[in-house]
Amino acid sequence: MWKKIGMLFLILMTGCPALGALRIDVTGAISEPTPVAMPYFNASGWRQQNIADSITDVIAADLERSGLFRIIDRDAYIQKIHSVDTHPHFADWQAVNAHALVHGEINEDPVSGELRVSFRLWDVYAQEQMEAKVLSTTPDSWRRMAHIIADQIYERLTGEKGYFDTKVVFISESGNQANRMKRLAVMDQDGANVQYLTDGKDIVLTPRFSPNMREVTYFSYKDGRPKVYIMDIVTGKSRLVGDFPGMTFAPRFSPDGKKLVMSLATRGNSDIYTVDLDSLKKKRLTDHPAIDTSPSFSPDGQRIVFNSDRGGTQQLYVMDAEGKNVKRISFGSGTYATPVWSPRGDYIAFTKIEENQFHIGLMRPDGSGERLIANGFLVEAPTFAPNGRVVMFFRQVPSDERGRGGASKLYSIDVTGYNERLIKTPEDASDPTWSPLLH
Amino acid sequence: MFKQVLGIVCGAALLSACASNDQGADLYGNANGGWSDDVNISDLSATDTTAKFNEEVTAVVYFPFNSSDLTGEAKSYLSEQAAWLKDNPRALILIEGRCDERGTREYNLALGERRANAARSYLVAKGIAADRIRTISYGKEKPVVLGSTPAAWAKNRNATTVAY
Repeated sequence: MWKKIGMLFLILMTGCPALGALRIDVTGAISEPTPVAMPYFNASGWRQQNIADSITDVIAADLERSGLFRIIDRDAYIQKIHSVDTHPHFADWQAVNAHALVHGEINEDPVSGELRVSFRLWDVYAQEQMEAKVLSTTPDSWRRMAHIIADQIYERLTGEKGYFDTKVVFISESGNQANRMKRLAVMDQDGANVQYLTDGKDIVLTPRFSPNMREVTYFSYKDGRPKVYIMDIVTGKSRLVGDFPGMTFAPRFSPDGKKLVMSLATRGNSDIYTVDLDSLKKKRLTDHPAIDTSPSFSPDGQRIVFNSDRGGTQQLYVMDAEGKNVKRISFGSGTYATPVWSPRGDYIAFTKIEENQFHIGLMRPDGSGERLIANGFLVEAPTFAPNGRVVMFFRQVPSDERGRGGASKLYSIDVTGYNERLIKTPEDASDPTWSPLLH
Repeated sequence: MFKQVLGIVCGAALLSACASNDQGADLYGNANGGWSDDVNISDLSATDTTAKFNEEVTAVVYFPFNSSDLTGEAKSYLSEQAAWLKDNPRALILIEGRCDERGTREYNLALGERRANAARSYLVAKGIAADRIRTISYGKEKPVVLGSTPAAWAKNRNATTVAY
């Protein structure tokens, strides 16, 4: 399913993109979204125009969902753009208060059928071109092309890496709470292109991508044995990770993809181990009668944050990758769980339970600067976008005594704590993990 | 070692109506799971054993919130279970640990495991051979009682013994 990545390529069009003065601050708390003008991309022929419209809509939806941009109503536009080479009348775009202008066109190669999208991004006030590129791919990858263009625009305007050309692996849930069907599923970050990777026969939980996104590690009750598995996404084949006595759970890949870190429960006691994926040899990192679980590597692979109740209640701890120098980092009221390290390294996201409310929160790796960004009856399982600016999680509502209700949905929210958005999925969803950037 | 065990009833509904139910045969299909590698599962009629156990003793013990400590009541029920297992020396058991929905998924898997093992350790201390006992944690996955109420949560914090 990832093989089309190699077929995408980017070419710089004539002229170097100027360093525009326009720069959107992603760290600002409440700021008005920056107004962007984006006419529907041009195309020749109604069928091509449909594709162009769809691509424009996906780009616009990505930019708007980030909370940083607002697409100005197209009825207000004064200048008519005829092609990607139409030069903007900047006064016309200033008149509708556009800070940036994006326009483009699509062409189909009559021989190969390849789809080619070109676009330009302009700083309307500086009157300078900020970006100009051509992308080409097979027509069925048009959504990816749109996400890549949205990433280009986001990157040029914010100075941050984008996160739109990404996938989310998650658990798709259906049925009554008493007999819930849980399937491993993967989709685009905006909820499109959902594909199911397991058939729902076994309960599966907590899927996580490998760094190269070819594999997913997850927990399954397959054959009545609660164990950690790795699935090759391309072939769909799963393998048991080691044959260790006892339950294995809470797996995550190391940043180099060579190891898993996970919990192994023996005689009721859960400790943290790494498993080398070549030799399948395990190495014990914690040895404590308390529960040690939910380990997550720092992006440099040097440290691991994990969840333990060794102090009497569930708290967050950081240790080095060898299991030494264990240090507690959570000290607020309530209990803490499911820590995950940001790909930027600057934050650890977690679930916090306090006075029967669940929260998603952030703290720095030394435990300072704790703040809560989302809450609910049950919120859990934060995961970072690859640029570390957005967190996804799931929220479940209460169910009644017949197991009705209990809906579970995915949401994204900026690390600033603003711009919470529902991510629509065909069924209920939980346990999301965000992939790295695909391109 | 991969003998099929027939007729195991899913632990959820054990308390009453499940005597003739034959669901979940697949659940323990692999006798080699867990660390009781030397368990050799016999061809005893599992359904009868399960039903008999559930009729004669209390199969479910409950735990306080976020705890795997056995209450006095839990210990007395487990003592009954131990006596029954001595009277029925061919019976094997699986102890299922469960948690309420008010915890996080991975921690609850660990807590369910700890609850199942608290029950297991008690039975072993009462003289039941460790190789007759397997454990599994369902965390917050397979609630026995539905609903987001304190009463339902209390029922779902349990260790359920399934004899076969």
